[in-house]
Formats: sequence, structure tokens, C-alpha cells
Amino acid sequence: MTKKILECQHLRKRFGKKEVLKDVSFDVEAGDILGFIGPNGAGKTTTIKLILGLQKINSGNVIINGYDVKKDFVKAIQKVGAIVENPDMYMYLSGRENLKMIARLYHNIDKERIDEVIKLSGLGNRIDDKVSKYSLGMRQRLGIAAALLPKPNLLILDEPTNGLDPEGIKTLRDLLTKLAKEEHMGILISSHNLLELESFCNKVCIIQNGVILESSAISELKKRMSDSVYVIEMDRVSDLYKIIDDKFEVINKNMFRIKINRDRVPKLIEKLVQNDYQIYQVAQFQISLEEAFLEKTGGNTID
Amino acid sequence: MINLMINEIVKIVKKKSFIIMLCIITGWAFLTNFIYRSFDDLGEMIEETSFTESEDEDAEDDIYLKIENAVTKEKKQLEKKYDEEAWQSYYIDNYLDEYLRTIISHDLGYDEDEDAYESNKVIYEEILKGLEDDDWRHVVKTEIKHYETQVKSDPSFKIDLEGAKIRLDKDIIYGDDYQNANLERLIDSQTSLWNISLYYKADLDDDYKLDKETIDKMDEVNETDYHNHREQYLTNKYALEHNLDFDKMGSNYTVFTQFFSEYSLMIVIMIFIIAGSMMSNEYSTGTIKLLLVRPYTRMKILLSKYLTLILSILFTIGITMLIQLIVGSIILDIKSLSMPVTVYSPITDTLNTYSLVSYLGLSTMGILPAILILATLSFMFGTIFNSKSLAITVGFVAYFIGNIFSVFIESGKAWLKYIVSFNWDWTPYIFNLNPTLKGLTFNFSVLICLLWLGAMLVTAFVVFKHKDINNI
Repeated sequence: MTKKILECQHLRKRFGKKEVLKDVSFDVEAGDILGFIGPNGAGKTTTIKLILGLQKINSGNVIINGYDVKKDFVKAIQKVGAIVENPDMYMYLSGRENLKMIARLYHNIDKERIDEVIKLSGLGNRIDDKVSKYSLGMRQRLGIAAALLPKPNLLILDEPTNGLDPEGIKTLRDLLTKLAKEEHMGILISSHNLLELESFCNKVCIIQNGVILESSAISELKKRMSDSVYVIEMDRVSDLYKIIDDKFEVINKNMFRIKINRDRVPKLIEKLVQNDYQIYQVAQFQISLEEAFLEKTGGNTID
Repeated sequence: MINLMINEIVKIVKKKSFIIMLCIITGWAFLTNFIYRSFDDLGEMIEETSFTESEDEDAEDDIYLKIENAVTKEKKQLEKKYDEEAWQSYYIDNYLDEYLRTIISHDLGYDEDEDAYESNKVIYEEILKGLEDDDWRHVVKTEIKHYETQVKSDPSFKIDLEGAKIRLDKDIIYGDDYQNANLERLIDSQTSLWNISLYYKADLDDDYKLDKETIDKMDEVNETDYHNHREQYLTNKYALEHNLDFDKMGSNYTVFTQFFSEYSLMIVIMIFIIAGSMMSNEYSTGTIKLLLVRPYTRMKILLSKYLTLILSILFTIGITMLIQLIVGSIILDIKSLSMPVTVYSPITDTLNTYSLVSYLGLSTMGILPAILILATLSFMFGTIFNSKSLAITVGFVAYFIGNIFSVFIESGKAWLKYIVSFNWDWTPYIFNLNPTLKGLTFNFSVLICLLWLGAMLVTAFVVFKHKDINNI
């Protein structure tokens, strides 16, 4: 049985008259890597702030490890590691001093643990430089190290791939996968780079204008999205509109794409054959998560 | 909680502005001590110039001026015999006038009192003998003899008699050193007190003190006058007895007794920077999020910051004193620090003495409420409005407005006593001085200060508890 680490129940948040979160609910279980996806201004960061108690919840509940954030903040936050917005650090202190300051606020962090996360961060000798001399990517690495410092079982990362080089992204991906698998950590990760998430998330949650549009396993989502799109390759694609009533899209002079129900595929082929089209290939079209997402949200608009 | 505070201390100490402020305070200390040292040179310059008085020869027909000119001429004649630095010159310059005047006015035919002339003549000859024999004690003894006869007819000569006796007793050779100055001021204050007692037809006791009833009868100006002379009398008496030089400007001791007036601006600047940036910096750099996602309630986080602020106030005052101690010892001296501090209390009409250390400790306690309230104000603004510059500016504005309000003291309006700036200086209560406003009591001031502090802290805590951390 998997354990629910984070439960968001019917979260609502208003800023003045504008309601930025409308009934947001989702769960993160142990071992989950949940991709939290949405365009700018959709409410991703706000949701994360509500979870972490940085902003007041207007209605709804956040339960972390069985503790309500509103009532039992100290216990709820005890095993959470987080980066919100930017990996903000004290610029005039060195990386190590920043980590030491955080370590002081927990009972169970010793010097070995600090060295351990420094090793994980891959910052090497630069850890003793002032943070003001770090690049964004380096600060991101330090931020992740800081988030992991208290050995959390819930990790919340807001756009952690920002500023990371491809090597850094790969390291992060491997690290997160390992943490989820071996330490059964629940990870909530928001990002704009959807292709990034696709490769290692097992769940996805799409949010737009404060509403959760989709919340499901990533494989299921992909399957559902691509069910009805087919690419058909033929000798020609001319005059198709005379015989096909459905909407279709011509890709090139030999190929077109059509969105129809699986059951209607034999009928379509029959029709094409009757009209002397020579069919070379009928393929189910695999779309990326990014495309699925854009299809769902109808483009990258903020209202 | 302790760990939160350790973090706060690290944040303050590691900031560049902290080091810069310490450097500025050190620079200020050097400047202040150099100025104090130059005060002494300045004093000498003034004394030197005061010797070159111009003679007024025009009014030959004025009797008074005629006598004065003759006296001056005679004095110059006498002075020629002695070295400029010798005690004789000093004596002739300052003490001989009385005798000379009587003799000369008689010689010129203006004074007919033969008895006074004869007795004066005898004394004058004795004094001249003392001067010539280089025996200053003989001069004092002659004066004592003279005053002893005078006091029978005019009791006010008691003051001069006592003065001369002290001079003999304490071995104070005529000159312009501090013991002479102490003695002169003692005699001056005694004379003034004597005159006040004559005016009110009351008797001074042996310590030149008037009874309470007489003081109560006085109007405000005379009462202030009386207390000023009492302060001068008691202070100089103490200084004479213990052979102390309270006047020397260029001494580490003097800078320390003026510590808060010289350094309060530096101290509040440093404290406003700390207090104003404590919360607002966390907001503006986004590190507030780093701080709030820890297993501590917001109350504890803010409280730890506030307690750290109180510690840093004490630290700032302490380090400033240390800087003054070091800089003052380099530029001025270190020996004067062993001198006690005397504080006259007009309420008890007595002089209290403190060691310099306990005086500084007590003064710090007196000024602490003011600094704490200003720092809390700055802290509150930083917490509520996220703006460091606003928080620091508000602190300064309050600091200056608090001072400006003192112009209303004279108006005697009743509402003035509720203004915190009249209540936040507890120095008068600690040293038993008159309160800043008439009618204020210690308990009332404590209450007002606590109300202000409480209001500001509750506001800061309530706002912070419900604050949404916005995006930056």
C-alpha cells in the first residue's frame, strides 16, 4: 500500500477579488514524482506557497504526512524540503555557511550530512565561495542541496531546471529518480520544460487559470491523448476533402493526420481504397507530453 | 530558538554594512577625541589673549577709572620684579586689587576712612613681604589674619576666610592650575548662595544649604539659580577635597561623561540599519521563504529576530564604549578614567558620586528605553512594509521629531506628558534629577513606554502572522 505524503484538498486562494486557485486537489504518494504543469500565471507557485504555509489558505486543506499545515505547521513542515521561485540564498555568505544556517534549525543534521549534500550538489570547492559569485545554475544546485539537507520525505521543487546546464539536468533527473525509488520520497516538481518532466515523472497534474485540468499517471495521459490521432501515408493527398467529412491536416504531399475514433479506422481505409488511393502506412501518432499539454490548455494563454 | 538567534547574529555580523559601520564609529571616535584634545589648546589661547587688556586713558576725570588705572599701574610695577610664571605674578594679578584700591583711593584723597586705610596698609606690607620672601604661606596667613578681623563686622568675609584656610590646608600655591580654579569657583558659588540667602532673609547652614521652606518660596528662575550654585559648590568642594580635575576637556574621562551626547547619533544609525533591515532584507532577497519553511512558528521566528535586535543594541553600545576606550587611551589618556563622576540631585539637594563604570552603566539604562522604542519602530516598519529604506527613514524621523517636541515644554500643555519622547529618557529618574516634564513620575514613564512598545510589537507580530509572502 502506498502512503499519501501530500494531500491538497479543495484549495482556494483569492488575491483581492481575483480568485487565483479554484478548488485545486491532488495527492503525492511515496515514490511519486509529480509533474506540476501549467503556463505562466496558472497558479503553480501559489499552490506551492499554500502547501508550504507561505500564504494563507482561504479554504481547503493541505495535509503533509498526516498533519494539517494550517493547524500543525511545525510538525507538517518538519520533513519537507523545498525551493520556491528562485533558489534564494544569503548572497553575502558562502554556500557552506548557508547550509550550516539551515542545519542549525534542525535537530538531526550533523556535519557529515552537510558534507553529503555538498557532494550531491556537485559544487565541489566552490561551496566555500560567496553565493553572490555563483551562477544561477550553481545556486540551483545549492538550493537543491539545501532542500535535501533535512532528509525530507516530501521534496517540492519550483522550476528547478531553470538555469541548469544539460549535464546538471541529467544529474538532477538521476538524483530525483533515485530518491523516489530508493528512499520513497514524494516529489512535487513544477517546470516549464515539459519534455524534461516527461522523461522522469510518473504522474502529471495540469493546471490552468487556477483549475486542475488533468491529474493522472503520465502513461495514461499520453495514451488517452494519442488514442485518436493517426498519420496515414499514401501516394497522394489531393482531393481528400471530397471523401472525408472529418477534420484532417495535411502534413506533406504524401501524408496527412486525422483525429478519429479507433473504431472508425477500418471504414476510413475502406473509403480511401475505394477512391483509388494507395496506402503505404497507417500509424498511430505518438505525441509528446508537451503537445498533449498544449492541446489540453489550448495554447499558452493567461487570462 | 537559540539556534534561530545564532543565525540572526551570523546574518548581522557577516554583512558588509556592519563592518563599515564599525569603521565609521571608529573614525568618529578619532575625530571626537582629537576635538576634545584641541579644546585644551584653545583654552590656553583664550587665556593668553585675555592678558592684553586695553587701558582706557580717556576718562581721566572719572574717579573710578582714575583709581583703576592707578591700581593697574601699580600692579604692573610690582609684577616687573617677578617672573611671569611665578606665583607672585599670579597673586598680584588676581588678589591684590582690593588692598591696592583702598590704599590708592586714600592716597588720591577720595577715601577718608583712616582706620581701614591703616589696617589695610599693614596687611599690604605683610603681603609684599611674603611676595618678596617667596613665601606664599605667609601671604595666606596674612590674609587669614585680615579676614578674621573683617568677619567680625561683615559676616560675608567668612567665605574668604574659609577659602584661605582651605588653600593653606590643601597646599594650593597661587597659580592657574585646576585646584586654584576649583577654589575660585567654590568661593564664587558660596558668594552667590550667600546673596540668595540674604535676598530671602534665610540662613545658610554650614554646608551652604537653604532650608526646604525657603526653596519652596522661590520662583522658578531663582530656584534653578540656587540649584546651579549648589551644584557648583558641592562639585568644587568635592574636587578640592579629592584633588580632582573635572574641567580638563582633553581627557578620556570627559569624553566618557559626555559619551551619549557624542555618540548617540552613531549608535542610533547603526541600530536603525540593523533594525530596519532585519525583516525587510529577508523579503527583498526572498530569503524569507528559506526561513519560513522551517519547523518553527512565525511567532518564534519574529521573536528570535526581536531578541537579537535587543542584543545588538547592547552590543552596539558596548562596542562603541570599547572603541572610545581604546581611541581615547591612544589620543588622550587612561589615568583620568579612575576619577569618580559626581551628579548633583536638585531633588535631594545632595551630590552623589559614582565610579565611571557604574555611571556609564546607569546612563545606558537611562537611555535604553529611547533606543529600544526607536529600534522597535524601525523593526515594525521593516516587518510590515518590506522596505528597508522606509524603515530606516521612519526611525530617523521619529528620532528627530522626539527631539523637536521639547520646544513645547514651556507651553506646559497637559497632553505633552503622553508623548513618548518625554518619557523614554529614564536618566532623570536614575540620577534623581528633575524629570523632563514637570509632574512626570517614573511609574508613569514606564507605563507610557510599555504601552508604546506593546502597541508596536503587537502590530508587528499580528501583521507578520497573517502575512502572505508575495512573489518577488
